Amino acid sequence: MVKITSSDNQEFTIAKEIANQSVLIKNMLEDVGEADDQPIPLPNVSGAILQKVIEYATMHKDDPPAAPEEETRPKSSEDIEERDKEFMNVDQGTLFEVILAANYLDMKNLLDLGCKTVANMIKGKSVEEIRKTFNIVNDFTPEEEEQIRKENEWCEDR
Amino acid sequence: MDYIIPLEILELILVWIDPKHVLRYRRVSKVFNSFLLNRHFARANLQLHKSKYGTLNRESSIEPTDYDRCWFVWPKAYQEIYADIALKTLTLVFWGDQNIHGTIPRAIGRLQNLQQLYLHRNMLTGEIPAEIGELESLGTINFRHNRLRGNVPLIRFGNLRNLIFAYISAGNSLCNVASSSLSGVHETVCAVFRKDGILVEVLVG
Repeated sequence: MVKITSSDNQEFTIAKEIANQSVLIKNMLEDVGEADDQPIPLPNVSGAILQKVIEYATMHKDDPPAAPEEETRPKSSEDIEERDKEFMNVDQGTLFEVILAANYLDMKNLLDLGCKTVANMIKGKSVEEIRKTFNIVNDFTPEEEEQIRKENEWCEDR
Repeated sequence: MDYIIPLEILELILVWIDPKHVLRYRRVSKVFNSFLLNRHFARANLQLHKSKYGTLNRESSIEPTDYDRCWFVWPKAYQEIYADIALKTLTLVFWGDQNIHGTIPRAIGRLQNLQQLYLHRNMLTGEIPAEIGELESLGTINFRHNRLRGNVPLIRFGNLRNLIFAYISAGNSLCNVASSSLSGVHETVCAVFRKDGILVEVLVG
């Protein structure tokens, strides 16, 4: 078993095969060796999000490793397993935090799932809605924005 | 609570948006504009959506797909990468009278198998790119009845050893179609080239 602690000092004890789905934790475990039972601190992830991440890792612990033909298979962001869709049915704040945690913990599949979910969410949204979703300030001058609008006439909202 | 999503994650999200639509988000901010125009993003985006392009190993095409149409209006990096992924096997492009908007991409030079290129009766603007001169197998081109303007890169045409028929001028505002003495003639219908690439005859109609 492996112990990990969140940014708000919640401690979780999880099976090694679950912990190993995080490349970050896997590497840490390899560095400290088997004997050490000190909890691994994860200062970038809150307890609530860590709980969620562990839920994902537990759900996927028996997944076979990705087959080589995965690479050539047609890819679409709609291509999400039903249980994963269910798992990602959370508010936007949680979704973004899970993505940031997956990035930090180096969990490729979870990061992929999070990014696909956000992509599906923003599909078809206007430029203004995108700014709002990602909390981005428009830093173009009106002239610069007009120039891009012109270049982009073919794909602007109709 | 607001979250700052780092750039590398924004890229991982946006890459899933269809190449037909994703470039509209250039207008979001300067950071968006610069990563969407970046070659690395263009490649990742176009590769990911490859399965939607239709037949990838087409030898001929009589009707442009939606993506083919985008090729005439996409930014440079998208044009180059799409040409490599989806167009370079083409020997015959017969896209006349298809209401295509945009310009003839410089990336046309990457379609090295091209023997016949028909783009007549569309809404193409801008100039004929000199890169046409890199298409060594080209036998026929037809650009008539577009809105092309400027000089025809004649010297480069001279490299086209197989070019027999070049229908380029009628309906466009081109100059220097044949030689300096003929500049200003806008109704040139057909330029005939010898197999060795020398322009031998210009039919004015």
